[in-house]
Amino acid sequence: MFCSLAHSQQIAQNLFGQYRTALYQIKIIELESGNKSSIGSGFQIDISGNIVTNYHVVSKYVYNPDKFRIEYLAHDGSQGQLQLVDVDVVNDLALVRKVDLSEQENAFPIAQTLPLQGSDIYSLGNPHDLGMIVVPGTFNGLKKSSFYQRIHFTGSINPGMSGGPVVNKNGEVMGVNVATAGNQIGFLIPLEKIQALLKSQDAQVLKSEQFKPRIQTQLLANQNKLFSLLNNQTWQTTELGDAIIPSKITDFISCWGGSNTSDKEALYLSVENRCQLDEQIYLHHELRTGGVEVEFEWLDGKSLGEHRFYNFYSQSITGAGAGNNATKTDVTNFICEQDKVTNINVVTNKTVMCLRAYKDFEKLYDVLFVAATLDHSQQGLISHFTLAGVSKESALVFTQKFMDAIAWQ
Amino acid sequence: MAIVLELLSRKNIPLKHYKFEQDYVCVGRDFNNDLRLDDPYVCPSHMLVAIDPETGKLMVNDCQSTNGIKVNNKFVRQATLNSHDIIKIGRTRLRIIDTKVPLAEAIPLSELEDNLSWLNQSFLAICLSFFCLSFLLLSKHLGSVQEFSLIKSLPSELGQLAVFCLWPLTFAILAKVVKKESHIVSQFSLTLLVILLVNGLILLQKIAIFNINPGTWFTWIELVIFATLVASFIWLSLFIAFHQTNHRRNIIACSITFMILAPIYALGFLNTDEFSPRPHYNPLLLPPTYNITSASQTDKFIVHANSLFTQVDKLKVK
Repeated sequence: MFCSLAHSQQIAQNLFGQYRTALYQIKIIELESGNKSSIGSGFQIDISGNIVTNYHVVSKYVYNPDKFRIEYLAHDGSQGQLQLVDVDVVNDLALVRKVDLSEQENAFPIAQTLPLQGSDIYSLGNPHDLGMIVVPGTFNGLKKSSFYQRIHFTGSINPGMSGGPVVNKNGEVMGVNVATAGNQIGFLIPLEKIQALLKSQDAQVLKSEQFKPRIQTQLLANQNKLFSLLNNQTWQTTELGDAIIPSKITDFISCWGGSNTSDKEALYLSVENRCQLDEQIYLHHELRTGGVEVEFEWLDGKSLGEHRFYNFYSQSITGAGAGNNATKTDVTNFICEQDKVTNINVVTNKTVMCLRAYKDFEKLYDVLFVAATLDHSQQGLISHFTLAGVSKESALVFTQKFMDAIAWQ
Repeated sequence: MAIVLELLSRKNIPLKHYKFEQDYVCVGRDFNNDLRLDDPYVCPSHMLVAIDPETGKLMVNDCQSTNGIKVNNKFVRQATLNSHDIIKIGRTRLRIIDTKVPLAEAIPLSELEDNLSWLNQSFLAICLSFFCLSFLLLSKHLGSVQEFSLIKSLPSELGQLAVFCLWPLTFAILAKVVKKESHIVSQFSLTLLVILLVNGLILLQKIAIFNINPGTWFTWIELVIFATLVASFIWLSLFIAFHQTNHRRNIIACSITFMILAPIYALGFLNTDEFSPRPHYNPLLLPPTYNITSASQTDKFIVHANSLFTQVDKLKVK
């Protein structure tokens, strides 16, 4: 045991010595104050100066190219400016390029395949602006059931290490640090996504007015992929109260349930079924997109009486809000359509559908849907979903499929 | 010919009227005078009001008083008077009345006065307060999903009823202040009736909205009905409390209605541009009993939703 630990430390030291010249701190400098406003890590992947980091590290620059610039800080204290070559918002990656190259450029090799589960891997980065460090950890395979693929890493990734490389024992890059889900569990962006980004290795530097159209294309393609998966498969159904509802509509959505049966004083029964995508796409610190939430709640008023029950029922569908964060500059206000609708299974719902559009991204919308059945005098099913960053076509197909998926037993 | 004098209050409200069947009237503090004024600023023999035998007009003469005479706020020693001139001596105000000038016709007695007399029954007022209280308790009961306790909710609902009663109380007090009958029972009955009517209308409004899911035109209808109701309520309250001309009452009722409604609606319109991460929709659900109209189909809903996308795109430009 001691031996293996010592061995692991030895590899870590070697790696650090060998590649520290290719490891950088990425700084976002605010032009007005001339000082750094956020930091992350990055690593060089070829001798022509291309550096990979996280999109969220450089997101401030992407949103306000006239207010910020990107700089690197090398291990020896040398600094220089960076230009944005490409981004991959869906996988939180960005490719930047050094403006001035030095004589001796070093680069990390890229691994060809992912290692075996349980292999030692090493995460490198610059946590809390304390200097470059190496964190040894274990490769635990790709995160199960997720649409936005991540490597599951046991080891601690700290703020500031974002964008740093994760290497195998040969020093080959097989992931990028991205997020931490609590103690000793981290997530990494896997090899495949890095390889895709490297196709732009030789591309021209992006002009600042190209940033947002590039992101828009990626978001649109991503939601197309997501919703063609969701809309083209038959949804599994399950029973909730007297109703039949679509439950786990796909493998990569995670579902939770709950009820108020433990509350002895409650005069009604409430059973909930909630499913959502685990990840959202980060666009800037107040804007997320790409999320999907689906919720059902069965309410039974038992002996409340129809008037009391319906009062409570109305309160239960009051005040639904968006599933993702966004600000006034990012999106419009919601506008809604509401009607009484009978679906193909003869379930009548009061149905509300609300939309808001992204101001920066053409053809992308956030959708919120709430419906409540009107067929019983003391029972009801509330169905609700929110979709973030979807196209009109995806949203309409999904909504129709969702509305017609509900039935009585 | 007679001389008619009216004693006025400071605000020119008649306090007393004197009629003298003679051609002259001596006014002063002395007990010999025709009109004796108990005012320390008035001389024992202060002035003489007389009818000029040649012209037949009324004249006023100062009898060398200390403080003089003011006619329509001007000091005079001698003056010809017209009807409704106000004479001030010392701190007393008198109005001269010319009996030859014909008075205005009587205001026709409104039928409404008699038609509203049924409001003035204590039994009715008590019944109505009982109704209102039951209604408040019932809506509280329907609005809660906890175990309902009558004793616990009674104080708060009684408090609410008391707040409603401030309105008739205010009008009764105002009427008393201007020396009219308070009509407090009528005011109470009227207020309670209006409260019941408003709640009935709200119920109707809910049923209508739930069933026909109307557009913005409905808001305007609501506004008109609400404004009419508020204005008529204020008008009737005024009618019961004060004796005013219809014109004056209309103006007061309309302006108070405007003052109440304008801020409410102005705030509503001002807030529409505010960014909110939550959509505004009507969450009202009613039991199957109230569900009268038929529902549409999923396909139709999707077609409508399609045009919603075009609408939201227009918001982007602004």
